[in-house]
Amino acid sequence: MTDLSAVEMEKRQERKARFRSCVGLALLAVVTGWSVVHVTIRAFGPDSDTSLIAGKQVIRFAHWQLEGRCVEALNQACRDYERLKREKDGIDVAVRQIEIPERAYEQWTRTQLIGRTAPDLIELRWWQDLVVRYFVPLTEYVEQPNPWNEFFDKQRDPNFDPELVGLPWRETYIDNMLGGWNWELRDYYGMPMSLFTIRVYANRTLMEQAAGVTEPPRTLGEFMDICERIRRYAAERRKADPDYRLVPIAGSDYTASVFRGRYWGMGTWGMLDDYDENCDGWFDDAERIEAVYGGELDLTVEPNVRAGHRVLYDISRYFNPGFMAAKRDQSVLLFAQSKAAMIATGTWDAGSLWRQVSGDFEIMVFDFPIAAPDEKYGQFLQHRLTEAGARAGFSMGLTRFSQNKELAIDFMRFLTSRHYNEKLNRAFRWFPAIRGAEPDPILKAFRPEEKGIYGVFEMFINPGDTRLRYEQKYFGYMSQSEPTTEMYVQFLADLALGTEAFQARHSDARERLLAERIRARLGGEAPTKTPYGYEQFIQEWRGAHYDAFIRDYAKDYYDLALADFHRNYVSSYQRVVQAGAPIASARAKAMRHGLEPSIRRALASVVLGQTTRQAERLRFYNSYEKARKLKEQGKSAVAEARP
Amino acid sequence: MVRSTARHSTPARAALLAGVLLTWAAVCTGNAAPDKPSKEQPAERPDPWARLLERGWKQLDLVNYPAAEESFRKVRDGQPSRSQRAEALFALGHLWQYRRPGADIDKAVEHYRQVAGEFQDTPSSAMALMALACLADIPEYEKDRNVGEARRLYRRIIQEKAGSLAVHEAVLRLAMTYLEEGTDPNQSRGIRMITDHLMAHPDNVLAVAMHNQAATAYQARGEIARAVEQYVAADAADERAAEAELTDAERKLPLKRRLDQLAQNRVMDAGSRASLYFRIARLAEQKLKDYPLAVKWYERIVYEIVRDNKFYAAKLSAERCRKLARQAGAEALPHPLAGEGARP
Repeated sequence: MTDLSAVEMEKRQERKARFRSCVGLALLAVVTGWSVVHVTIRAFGPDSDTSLIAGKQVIRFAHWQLEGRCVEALNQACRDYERLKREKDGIDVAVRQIEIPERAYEQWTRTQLIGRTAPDLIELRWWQDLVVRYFVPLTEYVEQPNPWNEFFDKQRDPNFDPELVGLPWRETYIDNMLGGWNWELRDYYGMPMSLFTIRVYANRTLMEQAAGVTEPPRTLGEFMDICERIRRYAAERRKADPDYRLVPIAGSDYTASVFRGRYWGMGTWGMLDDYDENCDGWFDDAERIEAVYGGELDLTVEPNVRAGHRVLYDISRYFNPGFMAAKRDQSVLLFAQSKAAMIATGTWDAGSLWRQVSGDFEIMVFDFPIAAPDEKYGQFLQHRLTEAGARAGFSMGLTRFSQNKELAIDFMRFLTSRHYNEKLNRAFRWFPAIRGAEPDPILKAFRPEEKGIYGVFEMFINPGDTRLRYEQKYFGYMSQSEPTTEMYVQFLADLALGTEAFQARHSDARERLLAERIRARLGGEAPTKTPYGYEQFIQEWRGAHYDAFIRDYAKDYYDLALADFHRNYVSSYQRVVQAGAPIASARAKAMRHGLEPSIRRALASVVLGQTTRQAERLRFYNSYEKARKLKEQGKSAVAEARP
Repeated sequence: MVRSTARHSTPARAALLAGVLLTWAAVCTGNAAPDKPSKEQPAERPDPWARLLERGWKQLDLVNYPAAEESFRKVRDGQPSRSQRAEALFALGHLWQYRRPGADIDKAVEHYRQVAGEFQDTPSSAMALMALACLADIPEYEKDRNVGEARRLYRRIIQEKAGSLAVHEAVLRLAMTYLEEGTDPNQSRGIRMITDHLMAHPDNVLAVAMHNQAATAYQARGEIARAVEQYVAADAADERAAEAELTDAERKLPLKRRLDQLAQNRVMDAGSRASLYFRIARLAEQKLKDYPLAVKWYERIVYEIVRDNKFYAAKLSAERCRKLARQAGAEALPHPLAGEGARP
């Protein structure tokens, strides 16, 4: 029995083992078969990655513009190109669009480029390291005319207007294709398609209803007045309907930064003449640390810095409460739902905003107003920010290992011909990048405005700890709730109790500062004895709030700026090193082909770029040494002002 | 026989034929080693070593390092001319220096040294010396800088490679090693090196960069008039070189079109020119109080630079300086395009 069972057991085990190996083999066969099918489909199927599908040449392009109608419009563009290329040149081509979500874009492109599996065209980001290694410099292409301009012009009218025909491709762009120019590498690397500007969008219906205006404000004063009228209108409506929600401006961390981007530059323009020691047109980091540690610039009292901050604070009072914690989408939704009368954003939101509104109300678009000379901030906000240097975006780069370079360039020329760029951007609801291409009528107010000044000064050193501290403190400054009337009454009552009793109840530096000021203003009398209205109190409170913020930050700047500056100085060496590769490449070309014009320009240009950067580093080093000694000597005005 | 024919069905025969054709195509287009020059080849056929070198450089452009390396190695190990072997070695050095990932500076240096030492009579040797000098002057990490070695190599290029393109760069970079010391007598020595070289070679390929360095050094020393002179000279050198490349037809274009054409041939892009002109104008206005000069350079931005953020600031400043010039009894000349309806 035992023997039998042992033999039986052995047989069973053998059968099991055989079965297991059969299962393994079957599994292997299935997986292999699946792999073969998958690879075959990937290689030869309709979405194949190869450069040839069923006799057609294939171009692939990747981007992250998934908003609005981009993907749909680009798909249409691919089909139009395939059809017209066959008609025009008899070439069968298949264009494939690869849409990558923005979050994964960085990782995806890096992997594809390093693995040499990247598509022919990739939407560029601020990549110096990748651009120099994996993308084709485009100078030779941008100097040639765009043949699609002639094709479309002839198609539309036999007596076509030859304005763009025969011009170098570069010159057909509104910005002369500078959106594709890489300053560091001194060459064109991008082929942009759209131009982006920023404006204020307003709900005309609500503006009329709440503020009684149908035209855009002409000055900052008028703008603030409209905001105030809307605020009061909303307050009145809320009395009857507590659920009624309307704010003058849709706020979020994003819209706050949009307003900052405009008014900060306007407010601080006046510092150029006072502090641009080397006359290069900027009040840069090196000049700033010398000025701060030398005591020439005191951030706590500088009037331009004060104006720049205070105007932003004043505007932000018309945002929705808690705006600094809100995101861009939330502010767009507020505007689309008529819960905000205005929003500041760029061309990129035009398409989705108009679609969301879809006839519910009329949108009015206007530029950020400046102050009239006799208005508040009139001395500072005299000029708008210019858009003369606005550069076209949505820029595609050509990868070095593209197997269909000429065709990929041709596809980009197709998209940036006047006729098609107009069509494409009308579909996107973006502003065209090509001269003469008419934008969608609703976007006319987005046309770049040349007249204006540019931003010359920033409060922090970027990147660095000063930036982090500034953002933290600026967030606190902007998002602070103001005292209510009840708090005001209590504050004055506490103040009347005398300094000691007041300080026992109020430990906040801003409140103590405010108390000192109110006492000083009233000649030391207790405020209850003198009429001191809420409005006046709020003005005093805002002043104290600003001073507390700027003093706190100025101290941080004094403590941290030198280290930030030094770190950036050290790391800027890498940019000098990076310029070595294009120089070596230009040298090698000059050795092989002599100094033909394009090689001469390339070599001279990259050497100029690198040596300019080296000279700049030397200046920064000298400034650092000077500032370091000044700091050691403690000559700063900020240091002296400290208790 | 019948059965055997039946076994080879039509698809099978087609597959067989396709296989043969594909093999033939692969053989024809494969990366075969260059044929040794044979008697049957016509004399005008391009040199196979030159073709291989060209292919190597092209593969390098395409970031295909293994293919580039293979081509250069074949030249190095084959029977090319001395000059070609030197170029292949230089190219291998270049490849090892710039391949990412996988750069190997030691291998790069080894190749460059071989070219500089054993092939001194070839054009590649000057470039190899320059590459070695730059590796000492601007290595991957700043702490590894060896300024003494860099200077020695720059001097060697200047002394031994007269007439080579590398000489201009060697002079500029050697001068910069002195300028960066920031004090005299070295700073003066650096400036003198550049200005002397520019006297002898005013239109050398790096003249713009040289004037720019001299200007920056003068400005750092507070010699503003000289700095402005050098900045102006940088623009003039750029314009002369651009002018030399104009065709006869382009020279006859109306001024506006000719300036546009010139701009395309320039080394400095529009943004760099706007920055340079703005700096010259502001130095003239703020430091030299030479208002007519300031107007001239502000207006060059207004009329000649197509799109730049400094446009409106330059326009306002030009108006301001024109008034100041009048108050001082001087008159600023109008820009040549001012009467032609150009903006504004």
